This record gives sequence, structure tokens and C-alpha cells, in this order.
Amino acid sequence: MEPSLPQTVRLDSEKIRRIREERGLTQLYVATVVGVTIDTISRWENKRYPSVKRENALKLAETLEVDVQEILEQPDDSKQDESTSKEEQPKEKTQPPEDKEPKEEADKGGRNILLILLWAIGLLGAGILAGYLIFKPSPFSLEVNAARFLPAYCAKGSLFPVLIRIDISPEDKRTVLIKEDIPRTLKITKAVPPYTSLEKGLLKWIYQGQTTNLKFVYIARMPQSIKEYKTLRFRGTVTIKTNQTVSVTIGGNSQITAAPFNWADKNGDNRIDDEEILDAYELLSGVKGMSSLLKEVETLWAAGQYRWDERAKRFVPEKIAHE
Amino acid sequence: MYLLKTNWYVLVLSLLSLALASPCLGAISGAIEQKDDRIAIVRVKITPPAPTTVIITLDLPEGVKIEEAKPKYSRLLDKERKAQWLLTGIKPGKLDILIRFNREVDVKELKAIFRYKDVSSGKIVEATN
Repeated sequence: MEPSLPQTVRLDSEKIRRIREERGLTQLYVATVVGVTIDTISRWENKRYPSVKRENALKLAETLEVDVQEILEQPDDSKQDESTSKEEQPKEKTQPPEDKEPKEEADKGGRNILLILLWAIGLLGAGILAGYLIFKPSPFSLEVNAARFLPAYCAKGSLFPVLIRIDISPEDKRTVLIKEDIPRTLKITKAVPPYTSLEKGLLKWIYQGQTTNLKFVYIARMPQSIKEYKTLRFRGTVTIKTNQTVSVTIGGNSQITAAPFNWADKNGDNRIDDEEILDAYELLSGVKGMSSLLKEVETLWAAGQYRWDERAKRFVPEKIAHE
Repeated sequence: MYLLKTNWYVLVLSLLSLALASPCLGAISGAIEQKDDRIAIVRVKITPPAPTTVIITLDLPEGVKIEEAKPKYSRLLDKERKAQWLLTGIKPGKLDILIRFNREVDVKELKAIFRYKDVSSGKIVEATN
């Protein structure tokens, strides 16, 4: 449950700095996640008891992975508790007021149907217009789309690529924070660009620049000890900060199955067909250091079909019998 | 209301121009030319926005085999009488594939299929010579 706090709270600056340093987080990282500038974070850490908005304190606590109370100035804990419980009571009792007018009008409505009809049409029109004006894309609003391309299968002990593509508009200087939560059993062998941090299965990149199409690729190794046909799940978020902060969930594929198929073999039929090899090349084109993965796919495509050699721990190309 | 009307006009005009322009969007096309009795050239034209990879499949007439090709084909499907080139890292411009056959061939007997992923839609496109 969210703690009940006043609109403005006072932070314990020393604690904030200490926790941030203990977690190994930079001021830039914390500023990006909270949605403030680095200067603000610096001010919070250097003033003795800086006053901040409740929302910012909650975001800061979440970023530092602590309870919000831990980072607040606490002159007297018992008083704080009392005031908190008092504040919570009225909230529970508060009920949204019910709008009974339309119902009553409808009951009496037999007398003046035309008036109600006109009123409804007017309301509908106003609603459509308001919706149009609200949801109409503004040329200045930040639009973000993030998708993950994850193969359907990968053999135990072999490598597979994961690509996160982010499309942002309009073009502007910005800070982008990518958080990718991967199964802890996976080993990352390569990342392009190199990741900023990887801790407890949380992969992070921080990017600063104005590119509108970003690609983040990493190569992971499927664990040797994993059960056959076990599924691994991925999830992640992208946070972008310019003059506003936008956070979106990474869409696209989110699971991979440990099975004796090459990562490019989407349907698991032991063949890399034309469409699958085109997909593989389009996915990794322009990404440095992916040539060995692609070369293997090309060899399997050229052969016609393949099998997984469990003893050698590699894919073996096989010519189709009738060729 | 004025805003609504203006945007409808813009939307209709945009769709119309998109429909008219779509055949001219970036693509891969090609033609087969006869160089001499036994040699043919597959001329590939790549216009932006170009895909990075294309598969060219050449259907061969019965009894015809490829003696030499530059660049070399990526795979040969004997039973299906097909030769395939996987061209990667391609850029807008022109590309030639020179092929020498084991016997005389009329280019009208040859058929080339260009298969690639459309850059904007991500769908597979197939074009023939």
C-alpha cells in the first residue's frame, strides 16, 4: 500500500547519497528515472533537509529500491505514524458522488423525449470533439514505440540474439533509459552497444543523443542445464526524458523456448527457409559482431536442412535427400 | 469543427498520394540479358529505401547447368533446377550477376525471382524479371 504523505516532504540528504552510492547508481541514472535534472539530484543530496514534492520522493524511493520512509527526515516516528493513520481514514470513507440526474430525467423522460434526445446528441458530439482534440497527435508530443525481437527457439547451450528497437519522434536531444529484465540463468556474451550495467538479471542501457531509431542488441547463451521445452520470459521498459518524461513497456516477443532448433528457425521444422534467412539478416543488419551468428544461419539455409548434434553441441547441416 | 474538416482533407489527400506513390517506393527489380550464346547477365536494380538482403532465384531450363557464376551462387537445388544467390549488405544502385551455362540458352527460357523484405511493411516481396 502507498504510504500517505503530505504534498511536500523533507528528504534526508545524507541517506539518499549513501543509499545511491551503495547501490552503485549514478546521479544521471537516478535523475533519468525520477524525471528530474542531475542538478536537482545534486541539490537534494547537498542541502541538509530539502523539501520535495511527494511524487518525487516516491519515485526516488522506488529508484533507490527502499521504502519512502527510509529517505525522509524523521524527527519523531510515533507522531508521524499517528498522523498517517488519521490521514488514511477520510480517504476510505470518501465515495465518489453519484450522478443521479440522467436517471431521474429518464424516469420522467416520457414527457419530453425530444429534449433528452437533443441533449444526448449534443453530449455525444461534445464528447467526440473533446476526444479528437485530446487524442489528436500533436506535432510536439513525444511518441515512443519499443519492441523486442526474440527468437521462438534456441538449443541448450547455444547462442541467440535479442534486439530491442526503439522508435522515437520528434527528433530531439534526449536521455533514454532501457531496462531489460532477463532470466537470471542466461549469460550475456555480447551487447551492442555495450550495456551500462547488468545486475541480478536486470540489463540497463543509458543513451544520450537525438537519434530517432535506436537498436540495442545482445547475444545470450541458453543454459545447458535447462529442461527441454522450458520457456523463458523477458520483460522491459524504456524511459525517455526530454522536457517531458515518457515510460513505455517493451512490446513484441517476450518468451523463448529451449528446443533443439536454430534461433532463426521460426517454425522449428529443422529448415531455414528463404523468409527465415531474410528475417535473420534484416534483424541484425548493420549490427557489428553478428557475422558468426549469421554465417551459421546461412550455412544451414544453404544445406537445405539441419539437425542438432547433442554430443557436439552444435547444428549440423544436412542435404535434403532428394537433392 | 474547422480543424476536423481540415484534417479530413489532409488525411484523404495523404492516402491518395500514398496510393499513387506506392509502386514507385524503394524496391528491387531486374532483367536478364543475353551476352552470348552461353552467357547471360542478371541485371539487378536497387532503389532506395533498399532492403539489406535479397534472394535471387534463377529457374533453369531442363538440361541446363551453371558452369560458372560471378558472384557464385549460394546454393543449387538440382532437383528443382534452381540456383539461388543470397546477397547481403546491398546498397541502392546496380548489381550484375554473370552466368555461363553448359550449353546455349535463350534468355527467354530463364526466369529470375527477386525475394526481399519490404523496408516499410516488413512483408516479403517477390518480383520477377
